Amino acid sequence: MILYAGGYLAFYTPDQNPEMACVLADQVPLRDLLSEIGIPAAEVQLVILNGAIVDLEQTYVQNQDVVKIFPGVDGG
Amino acid sequence: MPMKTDFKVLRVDLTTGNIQTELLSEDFYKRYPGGKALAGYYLLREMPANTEPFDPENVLILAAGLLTGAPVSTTPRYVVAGRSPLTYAVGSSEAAGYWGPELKQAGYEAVIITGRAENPVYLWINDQEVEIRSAENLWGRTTAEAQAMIREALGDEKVRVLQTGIAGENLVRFAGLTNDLRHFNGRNGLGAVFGAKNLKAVAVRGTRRYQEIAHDPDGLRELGRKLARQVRDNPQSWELQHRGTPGLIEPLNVSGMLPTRNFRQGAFEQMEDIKWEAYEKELLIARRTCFACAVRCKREVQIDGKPSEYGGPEYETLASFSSNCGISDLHVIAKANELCNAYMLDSISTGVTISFAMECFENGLIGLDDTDGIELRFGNADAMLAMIEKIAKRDGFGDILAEGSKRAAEKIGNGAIDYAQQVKGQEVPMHEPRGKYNVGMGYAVAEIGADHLIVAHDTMFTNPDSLPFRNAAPLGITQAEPARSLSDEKVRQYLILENWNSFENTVGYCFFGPAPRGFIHPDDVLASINLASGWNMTFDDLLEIGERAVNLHRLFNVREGFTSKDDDLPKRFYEPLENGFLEGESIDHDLFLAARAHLYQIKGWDPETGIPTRPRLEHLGLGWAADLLNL
Ligand code: SF4
Repeated sequence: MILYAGGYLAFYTPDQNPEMACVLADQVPLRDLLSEIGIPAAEVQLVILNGAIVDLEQTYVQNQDVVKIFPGVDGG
Repeated sequence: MPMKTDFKVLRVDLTTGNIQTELLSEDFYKRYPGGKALAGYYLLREMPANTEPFDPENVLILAAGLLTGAPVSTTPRYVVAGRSPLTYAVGSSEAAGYWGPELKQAGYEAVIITGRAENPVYLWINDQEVEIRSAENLWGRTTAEAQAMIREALGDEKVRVLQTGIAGENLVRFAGLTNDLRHFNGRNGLGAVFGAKNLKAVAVRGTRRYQEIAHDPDGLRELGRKLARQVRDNPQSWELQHRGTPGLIEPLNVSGMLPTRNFRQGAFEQMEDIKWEAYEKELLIARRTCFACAVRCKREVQIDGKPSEYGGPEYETLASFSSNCGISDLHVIAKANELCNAYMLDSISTGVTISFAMECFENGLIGLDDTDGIELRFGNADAMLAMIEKIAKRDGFGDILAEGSKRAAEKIGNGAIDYAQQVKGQEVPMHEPRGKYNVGMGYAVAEIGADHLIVAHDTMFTNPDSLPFRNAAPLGITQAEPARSLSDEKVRQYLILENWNSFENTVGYCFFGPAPRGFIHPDDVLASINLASGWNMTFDDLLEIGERAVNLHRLFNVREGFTSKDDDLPKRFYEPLENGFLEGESIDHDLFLAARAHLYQIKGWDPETGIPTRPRLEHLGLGWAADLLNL
């Protein structure tokens, strides 16, 4: 699956790159995957799974998926 | 005397050529420690009521803050203030960069400029030597040309130049100011006040180091080093360093809060063409910074293969000329940014005034006969660039738009005012209030008119475990609230956050420094103040400094006849968004007005009129101001 960590969430990925490919053995809760990568769920405000907005707590992901996550954004 | 300075203020009367200095007491400075607070004090005390913004009696204040130029990241800010020709309310606009620290190094807290020069001049402050010099050869020049000519004439490449541009000379009501060509006092049209005074620029060079005046220079330096190391450890400052503000485009678009086509929509279908990755590929050539700041959020870009002299577009500029005008060509946006900065127009007001005109055109309120033959439709990049030129030069239809969207709408008539996205005459910036209600409250009640830096945005405080929320705890924010709520708790948070930002704008902190928006924990913010000053302040003291400044600004407006009627949003935000994640969402007007009344009340203001009450003013040490206004 492809995970895109938008906004400041890229800070938490291993090489601080917004886009990463993950190979999953099975369907996993997105929350668990994020925790494994080191992205705090508390910082995630919006999840887009294959183009549709979904609820982080209810979301499972598998290999073909494209997931984009975004934090709450301030101005400037 | 904990601080080793005499708090000097420079006074310049351009009519007589008289130049004087005066000293402030430390006790006084403790109550009005620079920036917004000091400017608010002088505007209220010294400007006669009903002064026309373009009259010589308008008082221009250029004020650094207590921390401006300290060896601590994100402390280069200063304020330019006066009566705004755009809003006729208090005008107050901050910028970062290098000019403020240089003014402090020259030994001044502030410069107060009155009168009007007979012919174009600029002010040259070289430490304690101050001179008014002819600017006749600079008038009509781009800002890059003028800066180069001033530096050449003074024989010093390091002179810091704060200047207006051709737009200010032409009294465009939203003309701004720039320092070092890349940092802008954009809002409120204060560049036109420079123009009206025949003042092209204020050039400064100073040699006094901040450490010579700090109460505890070693402690301050140590804190500055610690904070510089933390920049890379904090996700928000990391993001600013890597992407800068253009990184906001995609997250705001997916959240349905990217202003599109004059705020009718919240998502832009061509967002992929303008988001950060495209910016990085198409435009970016380098990253830069402000005085002593480790965040380095400024971008350098190329246009037509050549490095721009004016730096790259920030998020506000990017959105106001792209999604807001329906344009997706980044090179056009970079060109629009360059034009604004060369002529010195506020890019927010320029973009939103043009999008207003585009909506008028598409709805038949104006036609080709009005627009000098220009098809002023959403998505027409050539039309947008042509209109920027025309506004700066007050040429043809540009002369009408140079008045700002509110006055232009009054002239066009036929309901055009519904298309003018402005509060108190100032155009709304690039944040969708239908998704962030406290941002909307800030747009409505801010004394300077609609602005996005009045409070930290609602989306920071929706999850109690998030970093920005946890960092806000020392300020008294301990309960998570939805972004789209105006509960009593939300209003209480608004007040705290407004006072905190006002404090930042007083002492010289950039919005991206202190938490919750920035990476500096409030404990370290407090430490920086006490190490610099030795004043032993508490958080309550800092919030009170901010509140005092807000009240001074409010009193200025009260004296000029502003009422609660002026503290409201444009009609559009009470109507549903047409697309995106927030499609169909609007703000309930009654709910909004009820929350506003509650806000007035907890501010110690009359809940009906929004006028500060004497007891609150006396609590803030502003009894003198209550006397002045007979409150
Ligand atoms: S955070 Fe950015 S704008 Fe603020 S002072 Fe630093 S470089 Fe300048």
